[in-house]
Amino acid sequence: MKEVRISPGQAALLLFILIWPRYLLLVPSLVAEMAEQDAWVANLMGGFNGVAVVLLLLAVASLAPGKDLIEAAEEGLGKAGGKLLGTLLLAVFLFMTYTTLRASSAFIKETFLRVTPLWANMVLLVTQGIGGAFYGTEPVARAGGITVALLVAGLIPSVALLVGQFDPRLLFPVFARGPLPALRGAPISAFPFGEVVALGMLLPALGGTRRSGPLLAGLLITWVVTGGLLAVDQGILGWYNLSRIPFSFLEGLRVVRVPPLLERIEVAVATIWMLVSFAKIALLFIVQARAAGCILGLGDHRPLIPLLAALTAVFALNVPSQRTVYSRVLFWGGIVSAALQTLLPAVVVLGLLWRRRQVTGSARSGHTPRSTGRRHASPVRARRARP
Amino acid sequence: MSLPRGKLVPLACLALVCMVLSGCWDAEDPERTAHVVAMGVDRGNTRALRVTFQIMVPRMLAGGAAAGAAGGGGGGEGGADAPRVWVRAVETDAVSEGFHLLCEYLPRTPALSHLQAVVMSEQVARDRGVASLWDFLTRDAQARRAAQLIVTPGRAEELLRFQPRLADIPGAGLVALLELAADTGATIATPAGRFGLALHAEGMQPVAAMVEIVPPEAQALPGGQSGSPDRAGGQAGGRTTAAPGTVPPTPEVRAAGLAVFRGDRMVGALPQNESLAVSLTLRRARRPLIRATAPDSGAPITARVLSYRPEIKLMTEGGQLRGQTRLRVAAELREELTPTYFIEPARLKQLERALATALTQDLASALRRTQEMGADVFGFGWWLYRKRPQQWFAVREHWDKIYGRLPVDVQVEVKLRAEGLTSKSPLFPGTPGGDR
Repeated sequence: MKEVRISPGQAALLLFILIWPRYLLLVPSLVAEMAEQDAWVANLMGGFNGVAVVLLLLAVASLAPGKDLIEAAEEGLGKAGGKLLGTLLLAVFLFMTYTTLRASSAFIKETFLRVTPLWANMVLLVTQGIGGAFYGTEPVARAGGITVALLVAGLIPSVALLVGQFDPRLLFPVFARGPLPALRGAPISAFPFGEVVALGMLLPALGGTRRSGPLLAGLLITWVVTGGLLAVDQGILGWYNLSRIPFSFLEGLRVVRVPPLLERIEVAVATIWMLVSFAKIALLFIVQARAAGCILGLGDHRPLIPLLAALTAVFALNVPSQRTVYSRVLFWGGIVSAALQTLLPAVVVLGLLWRRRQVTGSARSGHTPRSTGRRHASPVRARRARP
Repeated sequence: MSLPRGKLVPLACLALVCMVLSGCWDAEDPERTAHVVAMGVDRGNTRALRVTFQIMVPRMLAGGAAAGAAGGGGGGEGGADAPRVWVRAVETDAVSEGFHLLCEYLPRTPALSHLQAVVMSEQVARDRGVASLWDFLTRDAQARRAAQLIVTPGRAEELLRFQPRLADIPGAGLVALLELAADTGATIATPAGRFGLALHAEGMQPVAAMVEIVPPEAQALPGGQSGSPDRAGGQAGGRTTAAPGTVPPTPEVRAAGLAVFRGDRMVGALPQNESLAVSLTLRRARRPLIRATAPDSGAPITARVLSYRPEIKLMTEGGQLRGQTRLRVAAELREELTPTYFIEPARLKQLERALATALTQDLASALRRTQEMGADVFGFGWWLYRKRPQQWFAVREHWDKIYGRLPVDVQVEVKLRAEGLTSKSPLFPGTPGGDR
């Protein structure tokens, strides 16, 4: 299957698409629930996870050029180790897809389409996602570019409206109850930043380490903007109200008294946000199908797209709908996922480094290592043995 | 990694069809929607609450009144005097239930997307609090948090049935009146979102605007003006009576100070002058007028505030907390009958001192009254929480009592930066018209 390359700008857009929808929708309220007054600090802490994941992915791209994360894992950890890591990675992708589907359809139902059943929203999202996934990575990135541009265009007047309501005093005191609340909230914000791990399955399309500049720049911009938006939200609603409402940015807009025409900005922002969500869901469908395809050793992963999409949709439909239960699922799942998002690429990088060292050592000592990854001779020992 | 064009087209069509799927359930035709402009909550007769809804009559707003008048209606349902809104009250135990009961009386689906004001009677605010109303407003997806929260000493239903002059939609007129009054400091406009912010803030208690219906016989505002400028009623002893050949006085709506809450319950009220002091301390007034009496002549002095800078803080003296509130005001002189030809610098200082003293008295009075209520609306506790959180957590549980006994120093500084277009008095002795 021929891989279509995407431009550096599109790579950065994919990063935006992965982080923003969840960020705008869920993160501020959950972070505020955990970190209370220090929500905005906890959010800034979470951004480090994104930087770590992007750097690890770039390291993987550099050590195993032209391979995705699972293929690289198979190279670094051996066939069985790669499959095991791939399975864990697939679990993380399925969790990301399921929570995105659930949160997006529930938000549409609670906010705009209150009579439309949840399953109808789910059908809409899944159909759009499958359609987008069949088009491929490059069209999704291109469509995402348009929607991100629209989202930014919608956010600028919205933020301008909110500035008058912003009270910086609501951001203080910091660490009034020690650093523990902020540390409790940080994993929640680390989870959406860590979602960039999905790009690990698109590494061949990204074109290796040459994409590092735009990716890191995109991540830093996203980090600053999302951090700024959460701080603005907290400065308008206060941490308690922030923790009560899922789409807190929209809630902040509803506090502003504006002429009726401008009231529609919030609807525009929410609609554009949904379009970005469509792009994200399509991207996640591609990623999880690729991961499953890699694990099963399939040449073409596309037949798996509708299958896995239906699986995640059915699962998303059948979890308890109470927000308390769901937020716990998201909290603990988010913590485990955030840890795995960083740990799994780190293990791959370590495996690849170990492998490279082994290969270098073997080349010096004249041996060729077996593909099982078993160690034959330490490079140090080999060097010592050399006359 | 792309599909052939032949397969993509049906897929794209399917995706587009799915986008209109929601229309099967959530179609909302404007002609089948009833927009609630204002809500009111009173104590009920048969059940706990009586919830009143003011609903727009779209036909009348879209030129139906004018058409009715041209067609010879006048006073009928389609006439020029026909009401632009329809008011309906229901008895219920919960605000949300009241909204659903409204469906029994309406041929349209009620919607809260245009809600502008929520009025609560003082009785309900004191006895039941605003928690249920606040919960309903924050849970509802349509209601905007920009809707103004208003407390009225009388019945909320009466206020919603009242047709103010110069306003097509009473609810919108009420909000416009409130916002203008808030600019002058007569009250503080409190959108539901801002009320909720104060409700959940550490060390701060919320306030809400008070609006009342003033009967014709009591329409005398401070300063001796008649209740309504468009009415030519004479004024005698604070009572307005109609002059021959003029429109007889009718009840009017006016901003009536502030309702003070402790938690979600109303615990007291502040009059207009004290409301101005609170409004200035909380940075909520835009262009208020401050008043005083000239120390020598006893003539009124008024000045319009151009800018102001409030500051509150707490100090620890001998292990005890002591509050300090400081207000620096720059103002423009609006009326002053000086006995000198020009306003001299010394005289200007005298006027500044008089204005500062009047404002200090109002501020001290507002402080004393809120301390009696145990409601820290100024946010001394919030200051402590932000600046010394550990100290705040130690006193947090008893803050209402501590605030009640808190000694507070009040400092007000007024600077008259401008004198208007003239600096000369019209009554200077020796000038034409000045020897009176």
